[in-house]
Amino acid sequence: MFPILFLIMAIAGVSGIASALYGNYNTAKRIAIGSGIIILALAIAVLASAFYVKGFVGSVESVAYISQFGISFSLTATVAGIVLLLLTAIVSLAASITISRKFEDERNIYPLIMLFEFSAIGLFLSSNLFLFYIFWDVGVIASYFLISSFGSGNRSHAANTFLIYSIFASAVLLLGIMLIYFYTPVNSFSISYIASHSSLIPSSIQSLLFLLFFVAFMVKMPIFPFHSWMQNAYTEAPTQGSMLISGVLSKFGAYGMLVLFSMFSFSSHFAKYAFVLGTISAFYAAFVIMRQKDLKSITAYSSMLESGIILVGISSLSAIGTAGALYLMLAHGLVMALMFAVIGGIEVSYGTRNIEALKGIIRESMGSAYSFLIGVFASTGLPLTAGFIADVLIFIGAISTYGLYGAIPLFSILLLGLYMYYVVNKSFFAGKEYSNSIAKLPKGIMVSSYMAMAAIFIFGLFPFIITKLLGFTII
Amino acid sequence: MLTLFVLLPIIIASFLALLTRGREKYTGPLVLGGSLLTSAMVIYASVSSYGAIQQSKWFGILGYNVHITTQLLPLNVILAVLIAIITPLIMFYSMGYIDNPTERPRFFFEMGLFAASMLLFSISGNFIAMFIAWEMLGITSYLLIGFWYNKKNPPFAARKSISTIIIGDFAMLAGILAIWASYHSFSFATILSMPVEPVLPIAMLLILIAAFTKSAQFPFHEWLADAMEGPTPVSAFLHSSTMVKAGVFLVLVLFPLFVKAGLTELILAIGIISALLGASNAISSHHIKKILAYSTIEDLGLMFIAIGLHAIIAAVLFFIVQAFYKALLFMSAGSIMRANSEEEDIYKIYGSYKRKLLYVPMLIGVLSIAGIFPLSGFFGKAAIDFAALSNIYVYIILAVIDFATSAYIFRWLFLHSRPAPKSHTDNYSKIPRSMLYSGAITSVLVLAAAIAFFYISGFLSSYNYTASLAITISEAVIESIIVIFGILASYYIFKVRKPTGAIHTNAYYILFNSVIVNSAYLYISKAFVYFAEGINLIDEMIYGFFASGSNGILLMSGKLRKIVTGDSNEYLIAFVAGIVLIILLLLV
Amino acid sequence: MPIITNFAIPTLLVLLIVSGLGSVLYKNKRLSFGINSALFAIMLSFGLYYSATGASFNVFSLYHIYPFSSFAIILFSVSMLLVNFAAYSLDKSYVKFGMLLPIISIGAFSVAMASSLLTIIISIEIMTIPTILLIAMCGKAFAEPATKLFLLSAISIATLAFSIALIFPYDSTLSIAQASSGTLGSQYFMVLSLILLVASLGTEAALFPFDLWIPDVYQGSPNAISPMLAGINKKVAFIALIEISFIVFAGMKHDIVSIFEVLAVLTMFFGNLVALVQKNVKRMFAYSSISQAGYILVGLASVSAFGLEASLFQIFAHSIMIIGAFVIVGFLAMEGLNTLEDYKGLSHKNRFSSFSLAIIMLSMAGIPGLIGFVGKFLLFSSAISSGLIALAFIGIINSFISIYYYGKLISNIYSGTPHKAISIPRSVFVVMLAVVIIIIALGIYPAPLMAIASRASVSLFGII
Repeated sequence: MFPILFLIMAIAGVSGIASALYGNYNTAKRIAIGSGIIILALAIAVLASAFYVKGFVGSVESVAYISQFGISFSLTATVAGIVLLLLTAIVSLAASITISRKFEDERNIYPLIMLFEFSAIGLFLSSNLFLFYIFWDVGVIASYFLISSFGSGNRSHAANTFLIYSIFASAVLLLGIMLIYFYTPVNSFSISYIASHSSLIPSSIQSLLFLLFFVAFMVKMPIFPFHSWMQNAYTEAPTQGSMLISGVLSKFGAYGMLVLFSMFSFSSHFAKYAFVLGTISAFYAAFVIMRQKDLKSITAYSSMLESGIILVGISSLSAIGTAGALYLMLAHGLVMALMFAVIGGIEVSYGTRNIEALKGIIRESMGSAYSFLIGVFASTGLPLTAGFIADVLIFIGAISTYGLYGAIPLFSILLLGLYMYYVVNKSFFAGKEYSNSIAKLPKGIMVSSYMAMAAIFIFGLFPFIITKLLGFTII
Repeated sequence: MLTLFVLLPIIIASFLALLTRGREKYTGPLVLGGSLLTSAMVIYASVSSYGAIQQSKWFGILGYNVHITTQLLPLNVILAVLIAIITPLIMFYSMGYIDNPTERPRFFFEMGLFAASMLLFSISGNFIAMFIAWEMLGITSYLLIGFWYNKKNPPFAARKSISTIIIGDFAMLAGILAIWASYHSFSFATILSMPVEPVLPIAMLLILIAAFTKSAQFPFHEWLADAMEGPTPVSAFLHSSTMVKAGVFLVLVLFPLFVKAGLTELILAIGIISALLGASNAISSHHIKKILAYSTIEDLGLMFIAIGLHAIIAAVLFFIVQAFYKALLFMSAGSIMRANSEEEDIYKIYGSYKRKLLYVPMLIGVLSIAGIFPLSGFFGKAAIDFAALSNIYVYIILAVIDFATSAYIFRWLFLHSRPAPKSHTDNYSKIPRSMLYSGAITSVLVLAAAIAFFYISGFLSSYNYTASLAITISEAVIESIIVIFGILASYYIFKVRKPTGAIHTNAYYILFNSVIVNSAYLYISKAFVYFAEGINLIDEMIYGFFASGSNGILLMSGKLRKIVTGDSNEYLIAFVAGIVLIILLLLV
Repeated sequence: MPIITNFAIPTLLVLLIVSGLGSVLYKNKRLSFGINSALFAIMLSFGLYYSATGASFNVFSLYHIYPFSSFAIILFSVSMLLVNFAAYSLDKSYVKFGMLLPIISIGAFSVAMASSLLTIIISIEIMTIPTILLIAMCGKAFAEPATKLFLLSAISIATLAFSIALIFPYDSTLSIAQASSGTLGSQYFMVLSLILLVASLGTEAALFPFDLWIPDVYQGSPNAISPMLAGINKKVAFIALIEISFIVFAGMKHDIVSIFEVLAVLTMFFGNLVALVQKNVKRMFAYSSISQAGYILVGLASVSAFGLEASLFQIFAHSIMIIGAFVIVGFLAMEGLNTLEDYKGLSHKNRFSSFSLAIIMLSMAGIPGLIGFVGKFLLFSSAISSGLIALAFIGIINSFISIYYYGKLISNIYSGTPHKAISIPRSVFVVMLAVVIIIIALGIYPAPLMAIASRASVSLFGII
């Protein structure tokens, strides 16, 4: 079979290096957008192959790597991998398009975006934990430099907070991975091998192992109480950074959770705690949002809320709930890309993100107001947007497992919606005319938000694109 | 024919409307044409596929298939045809009403989608189709109520409506999914035919909450009055056949489930409270459209009362007749406001009698809502009153409401038909024709709707939960007397005594209780905000906790640095100390 | 074949002496640089050859060559090559380097190949004294680091001699391989000897609390010499420590584990935490090199073939990285850039040196895809496979604390406004390029170095 996954990785890697080494701003931009489009096309090709090529899903492309530990550089096209590959391709392309020379005269941002895309693709496709960890860390570093080099105002503080949390997560994750290989009789890095032999893990170490992985992924998603990095990181990061971090990096954690719960058979003992934690996290975020004034931090906490919902879906342990969680990762990633792109545009046009200061945006910039509104619709799970399918699947799963308690987290989205409409009213519809502003959003931001919107509606109207794949095992 | 196809013309027309920017004079006719085509298809489908339940697969997941199901059972046909009749009328009305050409594409786009979602709702045969329609209704009504974002109030009214409505949306989603988790089906037909599951009461309660939010029942009723900030065609549409009827319709369709869940008493109670609140506010309000809006709340309350009394046919009958007269009255109100330069305070509006083409249809509407024999409103109300005979308390309440209805609607009529003082200028001659014609056509429909009384029982005979529909002579007489007393009271106060401004007595404050309800909303939202404040404090504490951890590391780092002094003697001491340390370590 | 192998090494060492003397006599900068480089390269090729063939033989009963010493030869010759290149342009007069570098290298190579304890002491002396001389020759400003180095070296050597003297009575031999047979645990003198050994070599190898002088000397030394101190002198001490403690004290595994464990934790924390608040870049790297010594100890603490392999890998990796780092930092110090603040906007001044420095630091921090990550992964894995989970966790935490200060510097480098460009001398460029290539190549495909390290560690445990 044609090694299409390697090809995607190679394109991402090579174009990243090329945009780092060669040429000026325009060349870097062309390389980034061109390779972004190619990767998106290849991601769609991967999706198509999953439909039409027998045995493609689950097939492994592998090259021997470190033979001493039986580590090979192997990529697998799992269902989750394919879906998240698609997400990464869309969001990265959207992020590269938003950059306009007028506002960010920095060509170094392109290599970082490409590096991030490379790591994300690698992580979602990797079939062993060693590669998973490698790409995990590379993604963290790329995000760190996105924040610390291109962020706004208080960026070094934000970047450092982000880094400290990420470091902690990476540390426990690495320890967990090493424990599986070097301490337990499983003695393997391969996810599928661990999944089929998880009964070998001695019961004394099960809780510890689960906890290590769980905490690492919690930090990244983020889930209460390890979320403090998020607000600063999302608000201080550049528009592209926020799009990538909330759209894709937080999916590292969510994908990790998915892997964790399908990898260890004993994780079912801990599912109900995870469910409670996800619920708390969602409501917590919903209430914190109510006192936020910065559009970016509002969106940031809404991302935390959705992460809680994703955890609820995964912890339902049912096939439908897990599928819903995967769907929500996709939907939520797209929504975040849309929201942060629009907010970035508003910031450029109006010079502020504070909802107290912004008034009546719709009068000058109807496009940004309606784009934001569509983002609100999508994040509250309006039917015909991708979020709806996700919510339905997740809560069917949760209710089947936990009874009516499973429906409780749904109402955190209601709280989110209530505040979001307040924000829309306050800053976009009501209020006096705003002066000194650029009437239109920058072109790049408009294009990328249209892209995200189109994707949101495509996955909302034609869910069978994804759901057809779910007959296969997700991981 | 696939029933879903009836939606196509209007949806396509709506999207095309967006493209007519620059050629706005075609926008209205385009959407009107689309809606007429849709109406024709609805009527054709109601005949050709009557009774059909059609499933179209949307997507499949893990062995389960999610369908978009449509059904054309009697109830669905009634609502669909109602929408099919009223939508073109409203579109026609809007062509005259929206006189700013730049607003037209957006308006007709939103209106078209609004109508389409209501139509989808009316023909939906499973929870998925219904929920999609339900949510789209909420969103499009939100956009329409806030249509004039340049004005001060509409954005706030829109927010109020969406805030109330999404409470219902999420309650409903939870209810639907809870039902699926037990029944493994979204289809109405399947669920109705299956035995009761323990989850049913709570799930149906959640769905009932959703119905109350959409149908503006206590305690979720205030948004409807505020929704009057939207353009008048929207109000006319919202209050007649769409949106607010959705909740009632949902309860009607799923009535057997509500009975199984034991929720009919609750429906009755909420209906009574809402009807009383609506009537009292309608008596006291000063806003020409809000009076009608509160009247709608009352009407919907009456429908829920009928449902609570298991008088399904009476509820359906009232459901039909109310649609026509409310549409008519709103159209008239819009025309009157247009003639009085969009004045909203009814005490500052005069001379509605000046245009006969406006006044006569409006009079028909007023008489109908008041319940004068033999207009359609009379039959609707009398049927409900008759159903309440079994319960004397309910009957007395209904009598009070009937009295109030005729009183406030004539107050409404008397106030805006006063002769204008000299200082007041109006231009009744400049009301666009389409606004008047559509009102006139509707008034004919109001008259014709009385026929429904005679056919409705037969039409719904296949429906399982039908109580008989009848009106006795004595009961009709009593009702008529009550209504006439109401008219007389109103005549005495507003024609004989001729008040020139608002009356603010203690009774006024009790009657105009929307202030109290609104401040209750405010307190609830404040409670949430205070709670959120508390959570935020916790959030800062968590942040501070982790931050102080990292600060601690830096502090320690600063302390440790002082070990290295640059003095060689101390390095030698450290060397010795190190050896001692290791010795101690090994000894331990 | 045996004749070649027997005579090759002594011949090379003699040639090195000749080269050193020759550079004094002729004072031809370019010629002596060329000859030195060639000799180190030949040494490297011998090391690679021995390692590949797994050669094991004695040379005049003075040296014992087996895969472990082959590894050390490779390590020192690569480092020497890099230092030689760096010195060529970082110091105005290369002549003193041309003279003393070969001598120092003889000391290092002799430690690598030593078959007796006495050889080790003498070799360390041979290496240390020219180093002190070299620092002192650079000018009066460098008297202080020279004095400090001298003082600490003297103590260290004296303690080492005492330590060896303590075990001599037990087996009456100075041969490393034979001394092991007579050692048994629990005798007080043996334990004391082990402690003194750790203290003496720990002073040079930068183990806390014997390492307090390190920052002063590394920072104070001439720019051309700091790379050598951190890249070679320190690693020589490690090689000696490994050989003596693992072979001679093989019977005292329990004591070794507990000593190394505690020292590893202390050293890691000390290096990393103090590095956090440093303002001077060179000093920051000095502390970071202390913390790296801690990581290396983590592998040694597990006292297994796997652990030793990991440590050897990390010794090599760190040697390359720290030489690269000190060369760039030294070069920039000559341009007047010293503190973290000064480094703002460096990427605008010189793209390549910024990139190399960033890669080196990311590698030190243990970012995957670079050699430092592989080293740390092996180290912590070995700790876990020996059951030292807590130690591994502390190590991991530490390795991530370091990202904080490296990240701060990298952020500084890649921020700021455009400046006047700085050009780099060609030999510095060669060093940077070589270091970056090694870091990335062995980071992505570490198998060859792992194989060499693995053979070395297996052969060392084979001696016991």
